[in-house]
Amino acid sequence: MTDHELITGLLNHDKPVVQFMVNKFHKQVITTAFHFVHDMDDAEDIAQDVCVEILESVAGFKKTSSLSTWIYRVTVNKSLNFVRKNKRKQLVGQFEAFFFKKDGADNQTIAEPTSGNSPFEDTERKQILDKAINSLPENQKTAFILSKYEELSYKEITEIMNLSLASVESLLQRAKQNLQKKLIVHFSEYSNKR
Amino acid sequence: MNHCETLHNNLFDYVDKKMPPSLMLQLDKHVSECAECKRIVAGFRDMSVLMEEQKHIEPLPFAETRILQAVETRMEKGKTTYSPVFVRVLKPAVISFGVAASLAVGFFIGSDFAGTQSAYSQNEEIIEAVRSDLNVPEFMTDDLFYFTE
Repeated sequence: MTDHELITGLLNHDKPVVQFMVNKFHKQVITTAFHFVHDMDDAEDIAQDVCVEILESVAGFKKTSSLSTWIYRVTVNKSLNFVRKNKRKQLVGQFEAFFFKKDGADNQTIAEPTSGNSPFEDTERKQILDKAINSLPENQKTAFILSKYEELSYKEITEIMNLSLASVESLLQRAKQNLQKKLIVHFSEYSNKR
Repeated sequence: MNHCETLHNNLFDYVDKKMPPSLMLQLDKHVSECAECKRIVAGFRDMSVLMEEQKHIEPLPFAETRILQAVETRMEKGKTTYSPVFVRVLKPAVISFGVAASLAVGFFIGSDFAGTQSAYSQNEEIIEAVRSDLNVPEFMTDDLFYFTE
């Protein structure tokens, strides 16, 4: 099914076309959202919102890029919104914990390494990486996720983020530099404690 | 720039082996000699492996079915409730029409009131004419008014 046929079907709310769209894009949407939110249930909720948004906004799709690129853009926007809302919730939680002396459940302290050849256990490694990626500014994080995890070309990233090639290259460079710094600090801290 | 600094600034490229071969060899040699850099490279390799694993992450079982169900539910709701067309186009049109109708009613009431006033002033003119013709003193105007009424 071509993009044109798919768009026409979605405009008419054809059930088989909607099914085809969900079947074709759900994995792409869920995995992209997962790399932003680091939770599969949340990623699935975002995917539901994305599919509904696609159905409701397909009339406004300008066809200057491919449907897949547009879906990536919707997914990135929804994921970033989710992360922003979550940050606000966490702030409120911390505020409540501070004033009402609740347990700080969201305290993201990283456990000390325990055993094995690798200095870190799997969950610890994941926590370190997620924390480092989360600390990046939004646009650097987006560029990094689309390039490193989704393996998209620079051209595709420029279309999704609506930026020039030079801007995307610069964002990726800075994202890598920042991640390197954060991870080095973490490994050095650990190595100094030993 | 010493080797430690070069390595720390290019860890991604070093781990992914995307460096000029000569520099790669120099850094390999340095890593084998420097304990701190060796530790950092080991940690970074771990992260690189984890990133590679996360590329191939799979959605939860039956995710497609759940998403489809959610979309279909939303589509069904959309049929019974107001569509976006109503919200975006018809609602402002209905509100504008209501405002225009209120203004029209206001003007209508206002013009009717103005008509009453002009009839009153016409009566006054007649009274004034009669009063001047008959040379009626002003204090008797009220009686003339009732007469014209």
